[in-house]
Amino acid sequence: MRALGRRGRGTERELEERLREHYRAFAPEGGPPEELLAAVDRAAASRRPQVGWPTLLASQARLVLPRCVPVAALGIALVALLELAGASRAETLVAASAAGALQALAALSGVVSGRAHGMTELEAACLLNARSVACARLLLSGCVCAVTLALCAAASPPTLPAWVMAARLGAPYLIACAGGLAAARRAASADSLVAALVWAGVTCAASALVYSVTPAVYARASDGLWAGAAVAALLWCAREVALWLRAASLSFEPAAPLADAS
Amino acid sequence: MELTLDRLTREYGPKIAVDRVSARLTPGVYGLLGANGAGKTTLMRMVCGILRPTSGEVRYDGRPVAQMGDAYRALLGYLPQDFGYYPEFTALDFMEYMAALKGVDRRLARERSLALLEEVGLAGEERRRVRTFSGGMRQRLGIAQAVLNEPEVLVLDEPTAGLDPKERVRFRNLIASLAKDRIVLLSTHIVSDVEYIADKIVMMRAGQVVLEGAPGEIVSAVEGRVWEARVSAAEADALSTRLTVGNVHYLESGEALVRIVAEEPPVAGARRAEPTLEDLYLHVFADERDDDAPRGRVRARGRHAKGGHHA
Repeated sequence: MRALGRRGRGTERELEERLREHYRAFAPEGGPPEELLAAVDRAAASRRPQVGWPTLLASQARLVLPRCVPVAALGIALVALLELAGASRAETLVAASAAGALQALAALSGVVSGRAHGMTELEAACLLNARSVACARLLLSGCVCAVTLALCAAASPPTLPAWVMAARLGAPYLIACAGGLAAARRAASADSLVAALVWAGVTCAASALVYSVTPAVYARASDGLWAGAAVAALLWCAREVALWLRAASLSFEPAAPLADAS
Repeated sequence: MELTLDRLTREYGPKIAVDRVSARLTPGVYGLLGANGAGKTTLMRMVCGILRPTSGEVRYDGRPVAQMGDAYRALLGYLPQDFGYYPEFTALDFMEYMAALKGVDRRLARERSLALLEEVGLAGEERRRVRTFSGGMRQRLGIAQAVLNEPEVLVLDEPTAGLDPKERVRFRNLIASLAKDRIVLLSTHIVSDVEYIADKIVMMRAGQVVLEGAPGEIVSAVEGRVWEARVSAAEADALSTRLTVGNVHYLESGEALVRIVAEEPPVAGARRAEPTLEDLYLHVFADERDDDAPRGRVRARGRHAKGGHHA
């Protein structure tokens, strides 16, 4: 098989051998000379694969974007169509709320897929580990949502302030994401995707149904409440994102079941 | 190149999954043998740095791998016991995805992926979706991804699961060729997987190392305890229930050739046989139950449980 990355190994091997000789000749309490350790570090770093965010994001784009982008386009198109059709303020906002939750459903299907499909153990042992992968997916799906938000605000009627559209779209999106991540984290790996999607689906349905039950929720007077709900949902979502990233790097920590002791 | 396991311990509540395992690994093949629940997978996860030990540490060339972080993962190749796949991926997609995560140069990733797929007998299958693969094909794909980044430390957890005998032989040849300047840690409960390729065998039981050494050396532990005899088929069945029977070969005459591991001659006319690694395995794990329930030693209150073997 063809070798990769073998340049500089001769020098590094010499340094490693010197380090090994040091350990074997002396008691460990003194430790190796700092300059020797630093030289080994530099040699190791010089042959370490150089990967950065572009590589990581590109590797995850295939798993996230095909799910998120079509749904985002659908949401933007829906808002634009309603504007063209002369829909009422409430109808436009109901559509925006449902589109937000639907966007979350699409995002969660990409973010949670690693856990759901049993890939986290493989990814955890890679240079770009499971935590990096989770971070990249969250970033990609978040960016898609941010662009969706901006375009929906641009497509909405001039009488509808951008912040109102942002709150109506953002609150269900963030509630769906936060609850979806929480549900996925608590569920068994094989059920994590279903758990997340069920939560997001319920949020989407509720966003649409609440209008028929309490139309006042979509009245102008409730704009401030929606903004408050969006802020609260943002804080909740931030917490769940942090917990999700933490769980990604501790996939096999307790409360791992005793069945993992094999 | 040296991987040091220094008193690695992993506890899950009162259960001890791995109990103070120590070893020093240099380039070569190490076969980790043990029944289900022995602690092999837990140990391997700690070696890979994806599971934190309760105590003890893993060091690579003297440096704790927990501190090395991505520097250690860059030279690691790992095949878990159970691994998944993204349903929409083809075999080549899967390999290129893993190559990206392992930091393999993008231009080389495709070339290397195709070469490895051919190496493991998946040539021509690269455009096929992984979800259509058989278990054996998926396992071969897993082996291929484990060596994508030409790792210096290769950890394979039950790599031959689902492989037919011909594939097993192919796998052994592949591992033997990879091990020249690598540390290969391979866990299995199939003795023949490691019998001929391992430089050193490590036997684990209930979280502890109970025996280790070169295959030829440790087999001597059952020297004089392996017997072969010709008995009736009914007697062969009876012997199986009370003794450690390694093999029963039923003959057309109504008799059977039995191979038994026992301290004393089990039946009249039994003759001593040359012991094998499988005989040793049966001897060490003679009282293991057949069920797959996980087991670990329970810590005695207030003190470490005694026993076990340290490198």
